[in-house]
Parts: sequence; C-alpha cells; structure tokens
Amino acid sequence: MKYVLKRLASLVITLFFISLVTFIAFDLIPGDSALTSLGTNATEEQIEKLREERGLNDPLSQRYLKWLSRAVRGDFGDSYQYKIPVTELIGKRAVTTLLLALMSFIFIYVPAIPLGMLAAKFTGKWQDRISHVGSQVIMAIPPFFMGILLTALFGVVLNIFQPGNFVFPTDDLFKSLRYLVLPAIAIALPKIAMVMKYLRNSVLEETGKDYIKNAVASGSTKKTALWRHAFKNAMIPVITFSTMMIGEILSGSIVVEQVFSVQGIGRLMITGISMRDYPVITALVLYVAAIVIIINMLGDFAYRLVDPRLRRQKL
Amino acid sequence: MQDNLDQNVILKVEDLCLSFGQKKILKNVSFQVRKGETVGIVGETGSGKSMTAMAVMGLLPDNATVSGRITFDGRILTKLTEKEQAAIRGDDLSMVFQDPMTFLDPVMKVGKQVGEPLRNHGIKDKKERKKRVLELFRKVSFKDPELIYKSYPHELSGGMRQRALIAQALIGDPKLLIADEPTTALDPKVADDILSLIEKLNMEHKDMAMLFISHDLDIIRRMCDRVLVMYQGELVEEGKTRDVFERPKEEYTKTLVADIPHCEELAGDDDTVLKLTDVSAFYKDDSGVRHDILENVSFHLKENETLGLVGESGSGKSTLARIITGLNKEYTGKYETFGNKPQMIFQDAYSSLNPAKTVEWIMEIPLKVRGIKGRKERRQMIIDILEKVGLDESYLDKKPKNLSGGQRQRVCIGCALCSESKLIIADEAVSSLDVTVSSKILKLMQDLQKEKGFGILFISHNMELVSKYCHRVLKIEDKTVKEGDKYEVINKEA
Amino acid sequence: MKNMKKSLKICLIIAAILILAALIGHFWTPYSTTDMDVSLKNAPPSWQHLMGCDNFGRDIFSRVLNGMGTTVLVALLTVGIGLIVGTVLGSLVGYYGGIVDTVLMRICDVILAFPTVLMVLVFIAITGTGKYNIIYALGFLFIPSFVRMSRGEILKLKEMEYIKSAKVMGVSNIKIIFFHIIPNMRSALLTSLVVGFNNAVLAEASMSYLGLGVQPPDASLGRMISEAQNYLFRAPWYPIFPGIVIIIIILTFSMLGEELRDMENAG
Repeated sequence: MKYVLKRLASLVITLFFISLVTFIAFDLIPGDSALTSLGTNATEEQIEKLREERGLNDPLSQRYLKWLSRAVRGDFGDSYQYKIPVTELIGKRAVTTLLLALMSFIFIYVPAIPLGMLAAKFTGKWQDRISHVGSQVIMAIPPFFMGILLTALFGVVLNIFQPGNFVFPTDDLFKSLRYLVLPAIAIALPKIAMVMKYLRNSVLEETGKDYIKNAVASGSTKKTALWRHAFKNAMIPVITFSTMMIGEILSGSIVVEQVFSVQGIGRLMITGISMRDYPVITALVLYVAAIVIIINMLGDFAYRLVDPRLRRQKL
Repeated sequence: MQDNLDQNVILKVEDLCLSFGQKKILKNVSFQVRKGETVGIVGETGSGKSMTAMAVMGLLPDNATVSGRITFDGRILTKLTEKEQAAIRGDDLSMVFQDPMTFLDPVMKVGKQVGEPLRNHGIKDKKERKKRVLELFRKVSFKDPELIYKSYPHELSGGMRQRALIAQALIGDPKLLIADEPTTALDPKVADDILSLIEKLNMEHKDMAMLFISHDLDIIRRMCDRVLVMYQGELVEEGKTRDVFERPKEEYTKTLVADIPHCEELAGDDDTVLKLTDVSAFYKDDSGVRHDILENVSFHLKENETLGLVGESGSGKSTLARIITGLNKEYTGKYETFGNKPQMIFQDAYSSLNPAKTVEWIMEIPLKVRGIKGRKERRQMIIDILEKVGLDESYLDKKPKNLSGGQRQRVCIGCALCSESKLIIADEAVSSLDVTVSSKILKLMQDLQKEKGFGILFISHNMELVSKYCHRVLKIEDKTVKEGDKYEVINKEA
Repeated sequence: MKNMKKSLKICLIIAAILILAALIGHFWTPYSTTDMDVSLKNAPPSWQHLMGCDNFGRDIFSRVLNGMGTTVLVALLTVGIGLIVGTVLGSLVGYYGGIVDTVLMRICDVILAFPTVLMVLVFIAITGTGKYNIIYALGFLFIPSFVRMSRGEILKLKEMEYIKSAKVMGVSNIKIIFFHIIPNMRSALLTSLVVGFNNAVLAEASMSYLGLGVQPPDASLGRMISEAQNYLFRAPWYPIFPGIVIIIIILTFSMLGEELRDMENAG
C-alpha cells in the first residue's frame, strides 16, 4: 500500500516537472503564436491585441502559475485554433485513441502468444525459419506504409472499407469500431512479429536453463517441463516488454491516425503543432505522459505479481 | 558366479561413445556400479565425467551422437522411449546437480517443486505429496520444514537449496543417485555439511548406490568405495579408492595425485617487502553507517617468503588484498610496501586479461608504467619474460580467448614479472584451475621466486594447499588475523 | 573478413550498396529531381525512367535516390550524435558513479519511457520543422539509449579483473576508460549502432510523412509517400517504390544487426 502511494506521489511530481519543462520550452520558441493565428497580413495592433488576450505579455512565472492553478482544477484553457476548451477538444479524441490502442493491443497479443510458443516448439525446423523471415519483413514495413497498403487492399481491391468515413466512438460505437479495425491491424502487424519473436527467444532461453534439466531429471517429460516451468518464467520478460509496447502502440497510432484520417489525439497533436496551438500541445503532452507513467506502474505491479523474487523486496 | 555378480549390478555402461559433430567427448567408456556401492568418477575439466552422468540420465543435448549400451536395473535405458525413461527418472534413478542456485525453478515454491517427482510418478493427492516432502525435509535436517515448504528458491541460501535438491532426488527412494559436483559451488564450510549429510543419508539407505562425480580428490577419497579416473573422454584407471590414490598405475593418475610442491627452508635475514600496522577496513552502507570488516591487522612479509592467508569466504581476505594494492581506500592504519607497486594475480583467469587485446599489449602496460620508452626494448623484455613463464614468442599476438586457463595464468604471472615488483599477491590464483595445471603453476611461481626473490602473499581457502606451499600462515578470524605455526593453525581447523 | 559468415557478408554488401547509392543520390541523380515534364505525367516505369514518373512528370528513380540520400544522411548524423554524446556520457557516469549518475539515469528513464514519435513531435513543436531540426531532435532523443547501453556495459566491465589489475599497475582512470574499457564495448556498440540507425530511418520517414520532417524542395522517402498516397491507383509505382526502398533499408540493417549479435554471442 505504501508502495502504491509512493508511486502515485512520484507520478504527480513527474507530471509537475514535465509541465514546467514544456512551458519553459514553448516560451523559448522563436515563433509567435499570435502571428501564426492571424496570418502575415495582420497589423501590429491586431497581433498585440491577441497577445494581450492570450496573456503572452505577462512574465513566464506569472503565466505558469496561472496556468497551473487552473490546470489542477482540470481547466487547460481554450484552444487557439478551435476556440473551444482544450478538455472538450481532447475528451472525444482521447476516447478514440484509447480505443484504437486497446484494439491494437488485443490484435497483437491474441495471435502473438500462441505463435511465439509454436515458433519455440518448431525451433530450427522450416516452420521456424519461415516465420523468422516473415516476421523480419513485416517488422521492416513502416506503420504508415502498412496503412496505405491496407487501405489499397481493403478499400479499393476488396471494397469493404471506406477511407475517410470515420465516426467518433462517442457518436456511434459500433460504426467506429468497424472503422478502427484496419488502423488497428496496421499498428498491430509489425508488433505481432516483434512480440512473437521476443516470446520465442525468451522461451528458448528458459528451456536451456538448469532448472529444466532438473525437472526432466525428476521425471517430467520435456513437454510438461516446457509448460509447467519454462512458460511462466518466459512470460516475465514479456511483461516488461509489453509496457514498452504500449508506448510503441501510442507512437504507431499517432502516425496511423494520419493515414486513415482518424480523429484521435495524434492528429490533434499534429495540427496543434503546425498551428502553434500551445494550450492543446501542453495538455496533450501531460495527458500522454500520465498514461505512459500509469501504464509503467501497472506493468511494475504485474511484474511483481508473477515474479516472487521481487515481491518481498523493498523498493 | 558371473550371474550372481550381475544380479548385484544396478548400472552397467558398455562401450559408451559420445560426440558432438566431429568432436569426440567419450570414447568407449565401460563400467559397472553395484547395489549399495558408492563409485566416484574423478577427472579434470573436459574429461567427460559430467557427460557420462548426463548420458546415464538421458539428459544429453539433442545434437549429441551416442552409441553403446546403458543398462539400469535390468532395463536397457538406451532403448527406451522418452516416456519410459521419464518414468524411471526421479523415481529409481535420480540426480543432484552442481549449482543449487540455478537448478530450482525461480517462480515455483520449494515445497511444491520438491514434490514434483511424486506428481510425475502418479501421486495425485496433494496432501500425501506434502507429507512426503516434509518428511524428507526433516531428513535433510531442515530446522523449519513448513517454512521451507512455503519459500521460494531465492529466499534460501545455497546450502539450503542444495539440501532441498537432495530431498527432491531422494523422494522417490532411488536405487541409484548420481551426484555431479554437488559441493563445488558452495563455501567450504557449507560444502562440508552437505558432504556429511550425503554420508549420513548413504548410511540410512543401505541399498542405494551412488555415482559421485568430482574433480576434488579429497572429496572422492572421503566418499567413495571405488573410483574411476577419466582423462580426455577415456576411462584410464579403475579400482578401490585407496589403491588408486596410493598406488596409481597409470601415468596420468600419477600426475593427478602428485602432491602440491612444498616450500623450502628460508635463509633468514631478508628485507621486508610488506608491513601492515593496525590496519582496519570498513565499508559504509547506504545510510552512511560504518561497518568494520577487519580490525587492527598487523603483519609483515619478507623477500623470498610465501605467506599464506586463509579464511572463510566473506572473512575479508580479498578486502585486505585490495587495500594493499590500493584498490580499496576505506581503511585506517598504515601499510608500507617496498619497491615497485605490488602486483596481483587473480582467481579468474578468464576475466583477468583484457579480451580485446593481445598478450603483447597486455604485458606492455606494466613496462609503460615503469617508463620504458623503446618499443623494441619492451618487446624484447616481453619475449624474455614469456620464456621465463614457460611460453614463447608465438604468444605475443594471441588474444586471451585463444589461451587455456593455465596459459592465461602464466601471462598474468608474466605481467607481475614485467613490473619487477618485490611483492606479488596471489588471490585464489590456482583455485579455478585443474589439479595438474595448478601444481605446474605453483611450481612455476616457486621457481621464479627463487630467481627473483619476491615475496608472495598467497590467499586461498584451501587449508591443505596453504599449509604445504607457504612458509607461514595467517588466518582471518573474527575480523582479525592470527599468526602462528602453520601446522597448528591447520590442525585446529581439522 | 576471412572467417565471417556468408549471411553476414551478404548483409554487409547490401548495406554498403545502399549507403553508396544514398551518397551518390545526395550529390548526383540521373535526372533533375525538380524539373517537371507534363508529357511524362504519371508515366509508368520504362528503361528511361526505371521507376516511372510522378504527377508532375518528375523522374521517380532520381527522386528516390535523392530521398535516400537525405534519409541516410539524417539517420547517420542522428545516430552519430547519439553514439558519441551518449557513449562518452554513459561511460563517464558509469565509471565514476555518484549523484550525477543517478540524476542522469533518472532523466534518461523518463525520456525512454515515452513513445519516440511523441517525443519527436514535442521537440519539433519547439524547434520547428526542417532537415536540420529533425536531426537535432532525433539526435538528442537517441542519446539516452546509448547512455544506458554504455553505462550498463561499463558497470559490467569495470568489475572485470583486468581492469582492476590495470588499476593496480597504476594506469590512469581516463586511460582505463578509453583504452581498456571502450575497446571491449565494440560489439555492443556496433549492434546498438545498427539498431539505432534503423530507428532513425523509420523516425525520419514517419516525421516526413506527417509533414513535420524534411521540407520541400529537399526530397525524402517519407514525404514522397505522403504525396503519392492519392495516386496509389492511378500510378501505383509512385508510392510503392519509395516504400519498398524504405523496407529494404530497414530489412537489411535489421538483418545485419541480428548477424552481428549472433557473431557477438558466438564470441
């Protein structure tokens, strides 16, 4: 329990620092957000007026404190670009991205774990070699290119997918899910290969270990030794790997959202950057940071749960 | 008569050959083990003794090619299927391995794991299994069997894990127990306890035969009725343990049982090369609290002298060595060394030479430190020294990975010579070497000492070795050293 | 070279060809990369135009070569920054330890915990787009992984007895780090160099695809794909060829990385 509190405290502190760093960083940027919003034709007065409105003329410390006092209450200001509260803007899109990430996660692990075990079982045989070459090739395809290939195949050749027909999950969950299948596959495919390879190597490493020899010497058949002993041990590194995988999925979704015109936080981020919409970017950075940190925490808990060596160890 | 004898034989190995590709590991190995008998297999690294055990257990890697016949309890093991073999393993035939740290599944509780052989052999009732496991835990002298039952392997010490593994091997009441270097990875004191335990269990299980594998002649002498000597995959000699050790017939066995070189009398008035006065060593833990490792250590070492330093692991032997060589700064008191910086020869010949570099580069370092500028001059000095340590010019360009353990240790000694130091600290310098190699290295150090006159601080856990090889012995006990007549120190220990 | 595995040799040869092609493409291309020719609009591959022409009638092969040049240059420079800064920092903090070590590793952990693409985006939000900005951003983001790798290696190596004996002999700390320890990190460095190169290629392509990386008139494989996306059916060669080239680069270097790892494990 104390451990959980400690981790939560460190979450808050890390978020605080990240917000401070982003704030300072954006302050140092040469460009002017007011200028970007109004375009180059704007007069000096117009720009000055907007700067005043956005509070850009106040000193940095004052602006930060103001922002912070509002942020802790959940108010991240208004978007420069859309002129609506940032929270409202992010809410819907965050649901989309999280849904996409969740679907990708399922699409990765459901096939990857049995495939990985199979690859370990057939190690050295032709099945293993084919899967090895295949996974190398799939891993080499950049997610956005994979997205384009999938759109081509399903959208135009098979005609069962209409690119651009995105629906928010908050509007129509079923339609939205149907639309997100392809983007999720585009994210998942290279990662399936990765997880599969990782699990295979992990299982092989475990089967070479001494305790497997001991299990066989105590009368286990090789198959029982694999399932009763090696599998559980092999899953431990896979769990750590999976927390990293979630970051990778988010990375992938930022790019793939662009390919499939999915209205998620990735797309919002990209338009935000080109429009210098700092309230949006700051809020998004913190939002993703919180998710990543929480996922890492959960990963740590899971790790402790499966590995008794860590359970009784103080941190 | 022949039939009668055969009935008593529990294990019969005939013409066992084993190879990995072109590499022959075992060549026509044949022997027998009778019921209730303890047979030892002794040999050095690569002699094939462990592979013989693995072959009997059916635990050979898939890429091994085997021929010959292994008969166990009237059944020909080499002809059984995997499933039939599994039915015998862990029941009538079981094994205790070398390193207890790695042979237990880290994520399964010890009690459950020790009960696995019962589960594998059809005892489905959990309670019954637990009863048997606890019974055996008491037998292997666990103080709190219930607690051990619930523990995970990492919560037990090395000695406790080995006890658990022994319990696991005995749970099926085996007719033959194979023990492969069961104490090699343990501290001397713990190893001794484990050997006593095995002796006790062997007495209790009169019918159980044992195949005991070790590189350590003393252990074999203590445990075994008969001994097989293996060398490069062949069985070179076989007989009653006493006969083989006292009257070896084969040339190889003779070198194997040959004694440690004895030290010679000292002339007397030599110069002192090392002097410690009231040295205390400590370390600070994370919260800054000081913990003493050694207190008020004082002794001196002269030229031409070999001073033994013995003590259990963790007693501070290596800390002392680190202080003298300047690696450890956390000490109080005073030490003086005379002449060039003292040199160190480490235990692990594999990590004591930089793997990315050649022998010449490595041996040049002390010369450069001494300020010898000329490249050619240095090269000639290195060649001279290589010859002194029993190597030659052809070793200059070799990398450590292409050298054997003994050759590496020779290079290390060469480095020490290069520095022309008056003091050499040998920290378990021969402990990881095979017996025959180690006695050659010891002889080499002795010869070089006679020529160069340096003093040796010889650190070891091996009491017998130290008592024969060193002029004087210091023993670390209760954080301080006791100096005295070496035989007295050793005998007290025994 | 003699006792190298055949598969490793093949990987090395292909990698060399790719790098060479990229270098050539950086300075010279068969046709101009910017000249437009309406008569060649969306022309299919032919002997004159190996990969066909794009919607402005520009030679795709020339543009791919040039784009490879940019991509490889960006990747090499970013990995170079990460390698040099990361290894030196990691080696020093790993060897000396102390508070600097703790703080630096904490920062690296935080940076590494975040999705790379997100970090690059934030960086670009600060520095703006363009070839050099993407090099700075990626280069900076590659530092932590090299710091972590070299620190881990040095922690392992400094406990080696040959390092202790060098100290005993009186070799100075800086000499120990650079002449005794770093040569032993060679194979680990090489492997992470190859892996890093791949990540850099992928990151640059993704960023340029999103329009946040290399800006026109500089050609970039990622940017070409994003421009070509709409011509997938009218002129499939337009997006396919740059895509295939990216895949070949990544595939070659990941195989190379794997071969190097195998070699390392085999000793």
